[in-house]
Amino acid sequence: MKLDTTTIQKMCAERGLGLGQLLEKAKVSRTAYYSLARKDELLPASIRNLARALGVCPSKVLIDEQRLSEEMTQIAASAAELAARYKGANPENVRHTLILLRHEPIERLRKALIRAS
Amino acid sequence: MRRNIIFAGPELAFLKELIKNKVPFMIVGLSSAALQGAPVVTQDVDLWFKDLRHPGILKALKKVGGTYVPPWTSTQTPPLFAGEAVELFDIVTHMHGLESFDKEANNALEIPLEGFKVKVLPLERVIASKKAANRQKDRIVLPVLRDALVAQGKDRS
Repeated sequence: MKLDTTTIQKMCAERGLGLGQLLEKAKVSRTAYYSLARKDELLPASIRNLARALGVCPSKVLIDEQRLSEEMTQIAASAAELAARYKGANPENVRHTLILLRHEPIERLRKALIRAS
Repeated sequence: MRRNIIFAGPELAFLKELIKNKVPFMIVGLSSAALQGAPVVTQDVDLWFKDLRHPGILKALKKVGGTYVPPWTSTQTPPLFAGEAVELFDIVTHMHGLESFDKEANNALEIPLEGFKVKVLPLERVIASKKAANRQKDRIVLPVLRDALVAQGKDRS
């Protein structure tokens, strides 16, 4: 996985930023940026190996906090919209259902099962 | 020693054996609702059997080290399964407010578990059975089940 400098430059242009301005805003030094840009592989070998062993791309075994946050915001919005559409529905229950529907059925069942220890 | 993971290898093995032995059954009740995403908690997995005399049930039990405990009319004890692999399962032979087993089985969902599919009573029918049973615990959970329907874009009435 390499740094996509072309995309970064394109996105800078779309935002009216020069590369220097971006680096300053991101508090990334030019040395660090060009060092990263030269690397053929940014991810540690262990992560790549884990992903390869599972037959998935490395991003699948990493937690993307930004993506998680966006997903949760999206789910909350969908729950509110559904609850408004169906009279009497509790948005919290709808939201919890939408969250559970992201999991495999067996995981949903395991979460539901309680057992006295 | 007690296992840490609830509903893992032994329980799944029992369900697989029931299917392998062509036993007509489906998951009903709150476990069925949970499999469909309803945010509920339950202590057991209700299995509705078309016919408890089906020989495949005993074969499946034997395979996982469980046994069948027949009902006791004098103490009104229902039929039970005994053994660690099957202690989470409750036996159901009649469902309030529903059609016959065969009719409900025709409309049952096939939900994938780990490497196999199991028949599950659809959420709408779980709600119908809870409404008909009308016990206090059923009345408490009904709004949550209806809201789970809403999450799937279906009317909660």
